[in-house]
Amino acid sequence: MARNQDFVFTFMASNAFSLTVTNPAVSRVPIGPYQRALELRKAEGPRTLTIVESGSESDLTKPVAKAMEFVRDRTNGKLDTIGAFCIVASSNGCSMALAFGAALKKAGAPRLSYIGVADVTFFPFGRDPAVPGAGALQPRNAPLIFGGIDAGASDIVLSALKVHYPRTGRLSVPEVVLNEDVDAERRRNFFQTEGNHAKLVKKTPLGMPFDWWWFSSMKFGEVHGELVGWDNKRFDADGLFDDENHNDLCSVSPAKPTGILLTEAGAALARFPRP
Amino acid sequence: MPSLQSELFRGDARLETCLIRDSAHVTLGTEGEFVSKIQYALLVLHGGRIPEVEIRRRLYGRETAGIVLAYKRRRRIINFSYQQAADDIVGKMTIRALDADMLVFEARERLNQFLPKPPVRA
Repeated sequence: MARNQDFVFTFMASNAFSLTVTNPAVSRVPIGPYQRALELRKAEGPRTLTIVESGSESDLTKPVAKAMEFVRDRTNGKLDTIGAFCIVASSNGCSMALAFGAALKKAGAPRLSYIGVADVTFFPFGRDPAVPGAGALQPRNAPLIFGGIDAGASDIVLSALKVHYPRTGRLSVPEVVLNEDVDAERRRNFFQTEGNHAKLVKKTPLGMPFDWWWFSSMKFGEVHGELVGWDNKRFDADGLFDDENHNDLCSVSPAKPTGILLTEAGAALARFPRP
Repeated sequence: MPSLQSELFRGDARLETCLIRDSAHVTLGTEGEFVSKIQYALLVLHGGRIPEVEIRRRLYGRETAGIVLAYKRRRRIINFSYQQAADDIVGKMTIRALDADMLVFEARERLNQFLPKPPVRA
């Protein structure tokens, strides 16, 4: 079977789930390298490229089924015709990327060319409902406490109606193990730790009463860190608050982490397999 | 009968006793779950750094006491009936002040959940 159908899926930030086929010429994914590769390897035969942009949802069961249905439809049910397949996601979209990657593997699709995720949302007490295939994305390790807000700055900070939990610092990184891992030639995970903090909780998931656990001032106290077994890279974020640090990572500007993932996906796409 | 109001301190027998009895003041070398609560309140209300060993042992050590002293100086918590300057002990006045400040912090914490989030930069 000719592996001549190439795909890129992007699931960005807090956008709603809606699979939108995008004209490659105006896509956020740089396809210059892919076009050059097509020219150089045109003797190998024609190929199709489908770029899909979407967001995500809280319950991913239906979105994943729809994405799989889309791929089956495009390939006429023959997943072994998939050539290069890249997925890039940020924030809540990462959960969709992980679930989709796991579903493709389960369905017997060829190994993904590339998957890149930026600031995957880790929930201190687990995601509910869990990400199909991936799990609850709950950290497995306890934080180290780095320090509180700067003395003297508290009045300014509090007057802005923001709460600041003790920082956990760069050296203390939450780790998540996926239930079913994604099979890809390259698995990249970019994250920042400036938005990570800790809180004293009545009971930690590790069973310790009144102990410290991961937290932030973001919704559901989400934090960001490493996916065990992945190619992880920490970036410095330059926001004033936790949400801003997170948004800095999720920016699609070429120099920013999510922008870099899109560029890497464009390069991976150009290394499509021989038909 | 006075009692602690914040979610953090409310119902903690050791700290409730601290509020009414001099012998239950929290001093250097004290250990326990209630020390973790004091450390947490200090870090969110005042700031500073507490070494991991004091955090993990739930120990009212020198660094924790140092932040208590700084907090008391800033809040001007001094019992003028017998002292001219703040000390590094958590006594009746200090636990009352920490409790009042935590009540405000917890209210802000709840409010924060409803504040609009900044949009993602494109």
